[in-house]
Amino acid sequence: MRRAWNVLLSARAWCVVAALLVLAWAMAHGLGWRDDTRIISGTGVPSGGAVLRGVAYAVSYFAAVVVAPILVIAAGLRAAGGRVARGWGETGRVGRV
Amino acid sequence: MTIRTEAGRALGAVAALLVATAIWLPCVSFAFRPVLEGYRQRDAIAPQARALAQRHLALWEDEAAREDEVGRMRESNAEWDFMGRTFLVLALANLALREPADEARYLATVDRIVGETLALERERGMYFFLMDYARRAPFLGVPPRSLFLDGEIALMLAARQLVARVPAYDAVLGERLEGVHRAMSEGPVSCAESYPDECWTFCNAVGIAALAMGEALEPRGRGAFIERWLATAKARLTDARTGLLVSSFTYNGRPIDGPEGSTIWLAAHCLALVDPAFARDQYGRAARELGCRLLGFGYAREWPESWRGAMDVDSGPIVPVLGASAGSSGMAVLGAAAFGDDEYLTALLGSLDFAAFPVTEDGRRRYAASNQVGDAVLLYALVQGPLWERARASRVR
Repeated sequence: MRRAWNVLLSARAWCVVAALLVLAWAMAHGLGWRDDTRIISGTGVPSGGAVLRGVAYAVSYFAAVVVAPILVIAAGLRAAGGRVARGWGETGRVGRV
Repeated sequence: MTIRTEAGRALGAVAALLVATAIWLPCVSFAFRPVLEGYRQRDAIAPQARALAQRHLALWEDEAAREDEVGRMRESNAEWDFMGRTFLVLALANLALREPADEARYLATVDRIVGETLALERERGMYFFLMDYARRAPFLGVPPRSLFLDGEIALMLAARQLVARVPAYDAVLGERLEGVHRAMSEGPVSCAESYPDECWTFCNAVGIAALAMGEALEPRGRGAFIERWLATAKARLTDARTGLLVSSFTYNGRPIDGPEGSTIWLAAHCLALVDPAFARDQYGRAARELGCRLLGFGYAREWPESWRGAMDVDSGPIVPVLGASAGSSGMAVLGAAAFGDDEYLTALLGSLDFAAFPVTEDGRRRYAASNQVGDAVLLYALVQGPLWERARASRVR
């Protein structure tokens, strides 16, 4: 459990999630679900499937455009932070020596 | 020895996410910030506007595609079919004035739209373009007519005639303007119904604009009525808290709904033809009460803070917390463009490109989350100007 938690908090995991979010949106886009977003304007009486597709497209799009970059930036910050922390740790060891 | 705890890792992760959010969110709008020249130009047709126009022209040249598009709109609201025609005709009239070399193509489509609209009204009756509740009670005006239809038909015809007069339309326009004038002047508050015992500022402002354009074509002495309408609207149809015109009221002038974005942006634009100072005041108030910005993106509320209405087919879906309305935001583009509010216009166009899923195929542009009437409003917003200028100049002469 602890190991899974550590993996989830890792910069690599965040990059993978970001890539999956972008991939999900690319798939929705490739399947042509963009046109089903007309539900946003209340156009037509859409089927349940059309509503699901429209919502899925919108959610995946905003996840790819807003959430994925945040994850990548955060992963970069964590990686940079990890390097800095390791540098401090070595300095501390040397200092004590 | 490095000190690392589970709590420390979790805190570090949260901090990284918060910092990343603070970095990225303000940047998103920069990625979608439009170059205004690409959408709206003073003396030419901007590329994005042209692409929107090409898509609309193609729809009117492809019967099957248009029927599909219109059919979907009519499932939600028959009015959208009608309004889509009005806004497209107004846009095409402006395009013809901006680009005289292509006037024939634009006016051919205008004539097709006007002809079909009149034919449908004749064959199916006025209820074809109205929502079902129009049949639930009788109109109070005599004869029973809807200003929503008559005003916009008059506006379309007047726009067509102001670009290039067709003798065959003179009688049709004259008759329609006479009907609009009579219906409005006989109303207790100088307004006519759009639905039984229901008058809309949107439709009455359109009616006034049509009358003003009619005076520009052939003066009939209706200027006095227009002045009377303005005086009545300012005195009796204005919300006390915001100073904005209310959106709907009974035949006798009792307000039904307060100010609404899906009404006021267009109403202010129409009133610019007859009372520029009042129109600009209304736009300014609407911008203060309804115009919003969030992280560089622009949107519009349907209602001011002082008025809470119910979501309806005009407002479209309302985003909770923000109060953002698709209907109001679309009309706000017209308001911002018409009143030269470039900062707000840029923010609104950025929102459109971010959240309305633009599609450009074969030089034709549309917004997937929108529909034909929404795209027609947008096109009109980006090309409006020359028609109103010609109407004003002709009235002055």
